[in-house]
Amino acid sequence: MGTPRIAVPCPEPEDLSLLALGALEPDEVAPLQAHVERCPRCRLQYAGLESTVELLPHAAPPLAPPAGMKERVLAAVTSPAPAEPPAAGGLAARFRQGGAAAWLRVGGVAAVLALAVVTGSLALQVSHLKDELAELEQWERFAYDGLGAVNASLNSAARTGLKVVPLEATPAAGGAGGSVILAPTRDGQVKVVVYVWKLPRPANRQVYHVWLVRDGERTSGGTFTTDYQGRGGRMIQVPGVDFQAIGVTLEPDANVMQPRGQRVLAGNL
Amino acid sequence: MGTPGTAQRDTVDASLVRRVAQGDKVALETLYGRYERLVFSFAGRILRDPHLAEEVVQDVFMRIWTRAGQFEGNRGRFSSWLLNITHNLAVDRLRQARSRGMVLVDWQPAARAGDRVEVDVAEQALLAHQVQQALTILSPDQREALELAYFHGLTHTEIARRTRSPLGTVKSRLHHALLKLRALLMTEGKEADLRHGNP
Repeated sequence: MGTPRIAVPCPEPEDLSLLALGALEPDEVAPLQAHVERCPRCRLQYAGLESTVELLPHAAPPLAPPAGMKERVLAAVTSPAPAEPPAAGGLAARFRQGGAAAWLRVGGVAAVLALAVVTGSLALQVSHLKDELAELEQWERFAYDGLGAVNASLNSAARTGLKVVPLEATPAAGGAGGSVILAPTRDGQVKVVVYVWKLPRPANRQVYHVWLVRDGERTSGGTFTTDYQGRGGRMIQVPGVDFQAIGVTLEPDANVMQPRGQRVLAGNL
Repeated sequence: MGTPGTAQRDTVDASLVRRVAQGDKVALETLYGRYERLVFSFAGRILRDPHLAEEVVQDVFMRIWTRAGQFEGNRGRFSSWLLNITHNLAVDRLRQARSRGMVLVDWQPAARAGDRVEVDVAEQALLAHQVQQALTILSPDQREALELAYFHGLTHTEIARRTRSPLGTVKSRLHHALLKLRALLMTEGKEADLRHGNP
């Protein structure tokens, strides 16, 4: 006589949806997957949900790939000694070591414009930014939908205090300049807007990389490029300002773990 | 359940993947050309950064190049496999960023004023339009939950915390959002057509 089998109850249909969307907690995935694999009824139900989820990528508005991306990608992928194996651990490792993170490259101009409008008391500090406004208004590079959100948050930020820190050019970037604007948000975080000007447009895969310097250690603040007039920007949001300085380097590509290129701008908070 | 058009596309994809598994660079380039824009747009939608999106594109095709032999055509379509890899890699990056204390500002990229609408993006644009239209049928709460789960890579508990909603409510919103989308988009044969550009 064998051990009586204990029937495992089927999960709630809602849990199958979470599985299809990848929205379960990590420790919930394996047991549910195992059940789905051996339960014909749940497998059928899950297949329907999964095929619906597979349509969601098409909700992404078509974006034009950057010039030269095809050549860069295919060269990197099919080169005899690829720089990075495709294992998931590689990705994670790159991130842990400070590779480019998923921050927002948006609205440097929008943020600067909004800041200039709402912060009259900072006129002196942002005077050099204001000089750029006429040109910035014509600048389409950052004409994204994020403007509304930026404005909304800055209305609050203006009341609670802003800080503007100049970025000084190193000899490698004579004539360039920049500013870092720290703007508290309603939910207690801080928006960090890095805006630069007169930095030469990077060549090929080169990018400018923002670094947050905390106790001597550098953490990536993301990458940006500049337009033909040398202007560019980056906005990130952090839980708090626990870093003491911000630097900008020119890197050979976006996929760097630690700064290895020339430092072009720096500022102490 | 697909149409002749989708079946043909599947057949071509499967053939290309087999050749890629044998180290055929021309086949890889052909596959890349067929899916570059879709993968880049999808990664860009999640990561909201063109540099990171390009990195994901590279990682996705690196994976195709090195693991094409693992694709089983009888268990699903290549495009589904490809987009699933894209989603996993992009969300992985997003979650790593969040674990480092960085958070994204809510923002969606829009086409820039100077972007040309090329003929070869019309198909994808139409698909995007159909799915986006379907998303507008969802309630705001359902749409927000779906956005946070799928495009922001949040778990259901993180969504509950973010939206200050009970866990059960979040689960229910996500489930009913999917059911509603399924009812809207998956009439007979339409699912396959949508996924393969034959609306």
